[in-house]
Amino acid sequence: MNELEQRCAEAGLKMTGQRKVILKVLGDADDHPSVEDVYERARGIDPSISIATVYRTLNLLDELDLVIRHEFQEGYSRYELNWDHHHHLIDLETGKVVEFQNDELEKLKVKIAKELGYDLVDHRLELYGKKIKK
Amino acid sequence: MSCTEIVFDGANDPERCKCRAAVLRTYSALVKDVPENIALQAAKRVYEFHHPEDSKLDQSLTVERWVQAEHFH
Repeated sequence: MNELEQRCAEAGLKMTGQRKVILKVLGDADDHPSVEDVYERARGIDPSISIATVYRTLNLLDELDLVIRHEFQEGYSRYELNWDHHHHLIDLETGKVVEFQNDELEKLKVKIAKELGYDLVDHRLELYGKKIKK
Repeated sequence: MSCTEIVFDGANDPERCKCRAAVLRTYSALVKDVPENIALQAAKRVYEFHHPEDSKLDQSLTVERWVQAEHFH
């Protein structure tokens, strides 16, 4: 069982073969696929998958907070896996890498993009610092 | 210049080697999590902090050589 399947199992989602296929499609995606995109890609792996199964599975994953649903004002949703999102602070003196999460920062990034007239799709942030001497 | 010629051998300079561990620590931690070029960029930034006197080219060559030696040999 891979990490993603493990997370689903921990969230109480029974892992059927078709759900595994859908998770694989989401895991392999380097874009934000719509339901139809996921359906087409999943059918390439397992032609027996129906679009109803894709809808149901994506809704379940959404309810379990395992995917992020994006509304890009296109009239339909796009999905991406809800990976453990974090940034890095790099200690310049020692090279130590500290992972961190910050809700205010996440909101600020979305706000900045919106103010510039964009929906935020992706970003990267690394902070570099020197340890404050006490 | 030959591609095998060593342009800058900071790794053999004990003074410079103090930062080698920091550079490789950053690269090793990040490369598991981000694209390789981003990890390399961060490692170069750490090196630059320790040796701002080096040219950008020397910084790049040194870090890339250290990473190659550590991770790909």
